[in-house]
Amino acid sequence: MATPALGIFECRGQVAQAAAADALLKKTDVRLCGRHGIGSGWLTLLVEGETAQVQSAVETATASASEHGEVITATVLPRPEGAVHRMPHSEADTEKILHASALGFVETQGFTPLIPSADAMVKAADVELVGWTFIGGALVHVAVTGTVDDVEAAVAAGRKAAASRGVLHASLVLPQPESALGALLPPRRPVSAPCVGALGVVESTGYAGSVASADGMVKEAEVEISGITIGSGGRVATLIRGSLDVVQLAVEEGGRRAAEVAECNGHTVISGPDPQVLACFAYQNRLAPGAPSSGDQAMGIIETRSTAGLAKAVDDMLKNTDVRYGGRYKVGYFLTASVIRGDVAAVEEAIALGSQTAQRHGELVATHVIRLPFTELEQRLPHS
Amino acid sequence: MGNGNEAMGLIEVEGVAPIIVAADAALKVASVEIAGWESIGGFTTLFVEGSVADVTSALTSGEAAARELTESVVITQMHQPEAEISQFVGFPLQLGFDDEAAALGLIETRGYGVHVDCNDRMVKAAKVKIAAVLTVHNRVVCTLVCGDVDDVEHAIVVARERVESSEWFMASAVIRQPEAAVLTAFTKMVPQGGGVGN
Repeated sequence: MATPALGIFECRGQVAQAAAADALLKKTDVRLCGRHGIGSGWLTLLVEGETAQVQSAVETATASASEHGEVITATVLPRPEGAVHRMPHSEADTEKILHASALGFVETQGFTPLIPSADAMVKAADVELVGWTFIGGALVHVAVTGTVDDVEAAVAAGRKAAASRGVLHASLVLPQPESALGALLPPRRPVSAPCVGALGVVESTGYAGSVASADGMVKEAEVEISGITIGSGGRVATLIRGSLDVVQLAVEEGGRRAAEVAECNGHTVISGPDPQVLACFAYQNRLAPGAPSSGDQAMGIIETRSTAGLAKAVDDMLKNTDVRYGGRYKVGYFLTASVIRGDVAAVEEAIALGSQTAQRHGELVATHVIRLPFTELEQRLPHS
Repeated sequence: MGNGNEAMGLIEVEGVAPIIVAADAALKVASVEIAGWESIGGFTTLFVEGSVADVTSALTSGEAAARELTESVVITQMHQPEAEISQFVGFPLQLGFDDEAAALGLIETRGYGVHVDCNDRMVKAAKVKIAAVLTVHNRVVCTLVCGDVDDVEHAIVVARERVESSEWFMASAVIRQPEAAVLTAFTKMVPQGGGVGN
């Protein structure tokens, strides 16, 4: 066979991509041969086959995706050079197979609408929650599978829950989805999770806000931190669990703390969360390896929109104050943060100094000082 | 960075093409070494090390080169940097490579699909090799091509014809006799460090 033609299709959003992929695979004789995401929700899908089929596939994809979102690029290369197959899209696994009578998606801006939406979906119908993932620009989605009726009922319930908590970006139900759509699904999460009274979510932009809210919550109420999860677009969700009244109290406090330190994007409480939802979102983060030493009376966090500003600030803090370096973290969307440790006065002095330096050499976003950090909190923090 | 260098210089931009030209310009005027680079999802930062005088002139030259491609360039310098600063380098320079090319071409846009098309056009139009396709998030994608000077120049002209009228075009450049360390630093990366990286 002659070199197959290559179809390139780039659009914004997972729902738009899934709708396009299902339509083109159903209508034309082409094969998925690559995919790649570059942030901000921009996803590229590549297909190959005979030229006329690929041409038709790209047209079908454009028509289908346009109903759900923005199309960026739709191009056909009739005789592609081998070199283009050695680009990042070819590293994606396109062999995963899906077996389901129906596939549904709900896509939102951020976690605050997404997690309650997932819970509403699995409670409304007999569906399996496949998983969730982020694709940049704070766009996140969940996928469910089941019978057509169940997936339709689940997605309807999921849309309603999402829209009442925040921004619903898009949703989709695909009856008899093509098996090759398995390649587009989010990774599967652990299947089991213990039952809890309630799951709380506090979402902030940046790492400092999420750490501050986590600290506020564990100190305010008897809750356990389930994880601190990145959602792209700078979004970070702090997930807690405990009994309903306690989680409600904690989430209010967490939202207040996050807003004081940075930007709070929302918070929500899910009463009696489905075990599938807990397993999907609130699986335990690994414990930090060199767990905190703890003679330290305080930890400080400084966050910037600039590696240069942060590095310079940390260098200044370590040179001029009696603090130790405690790690760094980046949450995407131009944001990066560092942690320092020491006694309260030293950490406060360091953060004051670091703030000035960071402002001179980049953009300072947030700072926060935690006195007597809890060991449990520290073990859940992902920066080390 | 614990290796006795007197100073470290940082150059930060949006996208990645400007720090690649900055790295080459820095190495050509001063006796500095590339420690590596970092991407935090949108901004990238180049790290160079050497004596205070060398780092100063490397930053001057690197900043001027970067400004040919973008308006916003941040530079900063540290004397006797603390050892922990090495942890800010997300993509440290890998040793043990000896990359070589007569020329290095860069084409940077937002969007990935257009790079598949551009790269196909470049390898058809000229004898160039795709050395890397870097995605630094926030939709920024940069393709690096290597070859003889004439070939790379022609390839970049062809690529620009495809993208420069688009609102997503960001930058292009041709570097003659690129420094070996620049080729290695931007084509042989092993990421380190936590959080959203690649």
